[in-house]
Amino acid sequence: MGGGLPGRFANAQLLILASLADGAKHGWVMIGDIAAFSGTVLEPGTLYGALARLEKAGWIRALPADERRRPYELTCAGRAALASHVDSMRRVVATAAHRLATA
Amino acid sequence: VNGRWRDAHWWARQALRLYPQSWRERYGAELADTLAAHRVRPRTVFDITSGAVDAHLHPALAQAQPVTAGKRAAAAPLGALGAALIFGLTELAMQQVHEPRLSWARFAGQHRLVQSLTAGSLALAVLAVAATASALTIVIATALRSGTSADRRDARRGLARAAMLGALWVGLALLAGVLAAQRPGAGTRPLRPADVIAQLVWLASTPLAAVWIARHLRGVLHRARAELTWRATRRLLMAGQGAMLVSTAAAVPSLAVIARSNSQLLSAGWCLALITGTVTSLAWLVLAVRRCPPHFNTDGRSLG
Repeated sequence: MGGGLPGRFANAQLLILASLADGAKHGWVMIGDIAAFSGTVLEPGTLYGALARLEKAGWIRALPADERRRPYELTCAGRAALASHVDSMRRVVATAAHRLATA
Repeated sequence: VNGRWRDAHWWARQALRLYPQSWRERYGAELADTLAAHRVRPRTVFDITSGAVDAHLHPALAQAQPVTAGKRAAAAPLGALGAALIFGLTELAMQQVHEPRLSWARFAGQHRLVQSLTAGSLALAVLAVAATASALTIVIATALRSGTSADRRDARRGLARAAMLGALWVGLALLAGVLAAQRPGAGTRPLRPADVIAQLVWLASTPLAAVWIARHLRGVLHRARAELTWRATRRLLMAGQGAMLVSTAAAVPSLAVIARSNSQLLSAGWCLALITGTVTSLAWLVLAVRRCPPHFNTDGRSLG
């Protein structure tokens, strides 16, 4: 994943990318979706810190706001970054599973 | 009043004030909306507070918005126009130099020096306009189809800016050419070091302009390959044809100058302008054929 997912917001960025993979969402819908599929309840400060980083990296983009709610969607670069990260995680999981089984 | 001190939402809203102004302008309303729908606990207040500290430590996050396809579209033609401007200024400065090896006069003949220089600059300006229009065809059509509303706005501004700059440059080239043609003593003074430096500046500006354009178009083209739809391709094709017509129309005024100058290079430049437009249109035609069904379904979305 070019540029990586550094620091405190790394997991939040990955969760956001995964949440947006099936379509645009705004803040609290993202929090609910992430809680549903990962069990992690993101706090709003962490969510928007990660959103700002993803937006600056060009991996997500903001859509026109509906009143105070502004949905975000993945860009092509964001989709490619998520796919790359998923591949990397898949290799890690496969290696770990294999070593656990043979240890 | 006493109750609010026990209200976690009140504390969270106060913590929002700790964010920098630029951050609140960009994300404040949506963050407040998210908070209103969130179950606020002490850890939420702590999270907002630490987020505010982080925002102060990284002020660029809320200030520097990502470069959109539309912004790239707006910036791409400036390199071509800048290089054309530098070339034109250099050539106008060289009009009094008696050194045909460094000017268009090598091809046109010394007795046609002023006319050929003027017309040569005009031809290059026309070429720049044609190339700019072709490049704009790519980025504008792409941004208009698959971009956000901000992309479309930026792309429209870029198109307007490039059109104004191109028209201004061609107009200035015409005016300067007419004025220079009426000055006595053209082609009589010797070459000076400043003239050589001016030529070197122009030679350096061309690859720099190419790098500039490539840098701004790369992201847009990547996006075009990934998101281009059949309907967008048809628009692209139409825009390519339009660009060719515009570039041809822009070249028409220089025909009279070309006829008077009797310059082979100028005729070649004129042909090149036409070839640029034609090749561009053909390229879009090939692209359209390659991208048409079965790669696209009926609602215009890529299946690839």
